Amino acid sequence: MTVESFFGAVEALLTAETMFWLLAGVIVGIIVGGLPGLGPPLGMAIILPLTLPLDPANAIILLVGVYSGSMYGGSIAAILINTPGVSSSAATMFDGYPMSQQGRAATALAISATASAFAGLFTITALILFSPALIEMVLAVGTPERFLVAILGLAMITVVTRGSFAKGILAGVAGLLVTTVGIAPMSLDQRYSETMYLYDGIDFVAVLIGLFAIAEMMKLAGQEGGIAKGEVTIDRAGVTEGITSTLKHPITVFKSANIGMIVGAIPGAGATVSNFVAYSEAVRSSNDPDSFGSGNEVGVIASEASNNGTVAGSLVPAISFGIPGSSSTAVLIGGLLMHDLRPGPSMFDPSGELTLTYTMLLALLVGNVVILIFGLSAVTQLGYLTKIDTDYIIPMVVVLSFLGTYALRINPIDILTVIVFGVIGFYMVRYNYSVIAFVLGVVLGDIAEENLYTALQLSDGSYMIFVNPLEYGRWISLFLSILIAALLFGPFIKRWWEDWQSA
Amino acid sequence: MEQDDTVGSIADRARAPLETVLGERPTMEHVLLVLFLVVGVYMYQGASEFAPDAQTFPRLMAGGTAVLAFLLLARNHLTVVAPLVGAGLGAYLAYDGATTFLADGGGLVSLVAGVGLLVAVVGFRERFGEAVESFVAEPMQVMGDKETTEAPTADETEREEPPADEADPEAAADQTSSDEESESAAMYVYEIDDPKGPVVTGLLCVGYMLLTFTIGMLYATPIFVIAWTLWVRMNVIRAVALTVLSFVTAYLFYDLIQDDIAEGWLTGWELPAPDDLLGLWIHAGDLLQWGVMLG
Repeated sequence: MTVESFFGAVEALLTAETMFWLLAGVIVGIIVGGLPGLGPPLGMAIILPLTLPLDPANAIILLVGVYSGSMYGGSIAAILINTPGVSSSAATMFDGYPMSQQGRAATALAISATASAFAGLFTITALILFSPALIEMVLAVGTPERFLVAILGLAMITVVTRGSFAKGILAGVAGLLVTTVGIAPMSLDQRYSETMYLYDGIDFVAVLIGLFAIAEMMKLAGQEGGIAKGEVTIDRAGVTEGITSTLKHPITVFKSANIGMIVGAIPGAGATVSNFVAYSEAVRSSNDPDSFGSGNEVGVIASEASNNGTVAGSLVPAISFGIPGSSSTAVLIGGLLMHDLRPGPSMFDPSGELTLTYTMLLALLVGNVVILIFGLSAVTQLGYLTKIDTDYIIPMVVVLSFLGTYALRINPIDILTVIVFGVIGFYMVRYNYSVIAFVLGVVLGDIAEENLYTALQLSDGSYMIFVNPLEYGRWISLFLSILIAALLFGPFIKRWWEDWQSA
Repeated sequence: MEQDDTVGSIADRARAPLETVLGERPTMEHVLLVLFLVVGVYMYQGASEFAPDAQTFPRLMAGGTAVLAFLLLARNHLTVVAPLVGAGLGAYLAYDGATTFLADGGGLVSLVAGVGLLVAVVGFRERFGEAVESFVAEPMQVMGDKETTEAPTADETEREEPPADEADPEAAADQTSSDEESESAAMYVYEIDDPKGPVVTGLLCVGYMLLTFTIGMLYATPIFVIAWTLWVRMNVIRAVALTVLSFVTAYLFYDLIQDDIAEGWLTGWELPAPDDLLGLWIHAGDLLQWGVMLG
């Protein structure tokens, strides 16, 4: 059945319409990623409402195309103007920009395109090959465990993201609280619906657009710079050198792609972390660590291979349990939900959406080929993206955000939601509250509540189902509960233990 | 002595008591936390009206939001406040668990958690306060170096913190953001060069929304863009081009996706669409004639 689903996915992908949306997604992604200040979550959030008229498969393919394309696109601004188009390309600046200053911009961009594409191809292939085992694992997990996995994801985000523990948890819990407005899942009660415009709850698409588009535009409006001041010279002759350089470092590509994939699967860590981890590893294992930071090609390879490798990794918790590994996968989950696709076992069920899951993975595979071809052929034109002033970008992003949100349901609350969550998102990031945890809460709320509700029904309302395997026979639940407790209380217990030891 | 009645001094006088209560200068973060606290309390209270099955999740989340927001607001007084909050929460959980247990045999987890919390607070009051303080205020990081996760000593804290009246909260926020941006790969934070930019963008968005509710989004869109181009003092030709582009975008949404965007939700007004206006051109000659006659 799995093989049938796989070939069904190949057939679905190889239609002209699907290929068109994939191509469009990757190219839009490269452009969005290349514009300084914009990034994958913003690009995907704006595109999200526009996918409504499309069938679910094409909508998801468009979104993953934007995701994959913008991961590569982020390196363009990082290399050419020392401003990462996306935070996940921050490490690319360290060596990419010095290369650009040395007149080797084309080489750096070609390295970026080839390393991104090769890493993407490798990790997606690995994910497809690993998928039968993943399917077994996901289908073995029951309702109480799915609730605990959601809480585990939230706990991991608060631990991985920096800053106060309480701030991280507050962000996640507040996100979950947002989803309690409207019809309760399972019992169908109306909650907090003071006006009829809230009967369907607070639209998560509006929340995502507010958090990623409006908050980001408010931030951009307060920033100076980020636009190419002078003429950036990109000589096509460096392209071959870039390709050769990547091919000469297969171990760096392989290692960084793996780092990206593993770190990407950790909720909240995402490409920003994997980018730095892979770069640090490249420096550590180099014979000439001092050359990093002044135009070492290996630095660009490591950074770019890792951030595209992250895409595959972050999809694992996203489609398996609905837990986004990053902001971009949070929007992707939003896209799945918008098209009535539930992340979880049904995405791996051959009689459910397994074909769509494979189509999505294969689309990413083809998307990386598109990145390679487009990235290499358009090297000399990519510099134009860095010259577009944010004064033009900001109003157009706001306009697209408002139009996209309002056109979805013609619900005035949605516009208000966009603005309110835009302002909240702006200040949350400004004061170090994890927006990813908040988004996770918003995306996960219904799924978590539904699983909690079903789990409590199984246990006649007793929370012991999560911690008492002797009575309920759910050992995975106990393991997950211990893991959550260890993540949340481990650092404090460790400190107490150290204090006690030293005393 | 003459009273200084400037806006700044009035704001300073209003801020002083807040500063005493919070133990630090009030910033927009406190506004955000008060928002979370108020929403959390309101939603916790409101959840009691729902059917039992529908109230568990919102009560847990609203309660969590309110308690965490309160703890963050009181972060400078946690050694005193945390044991009180802990005792209150413990007593509530124990009472709730006990009554449920007596009624239907459930609520054991709540009872045990409540009693455990009470014992922890009563038996280890100082330790509890310190633990909550580190939970709320200290950076915790699994994927980071040790120094950055260590709590600053009291001496360091005193040395590093500028006097309240000298510190500019917004600048301090920027400084914090900037420092953490350079240190952290896991957290994405901003640097703001011009604080007016975000405020004006936010206000223009509110204006855009109000216009949308009045005359519909089709025509509100170019007006918003014109207002933006005026704010950034954009070159006229580029401003016109951007406005036209925004209007074309809005028109495509109107024509292809949803024509209801042209109607003002509050007023019910729907201004004539561009194609209707174009239709009026056939009367242009008549209008001109009337104009000449009237003239």
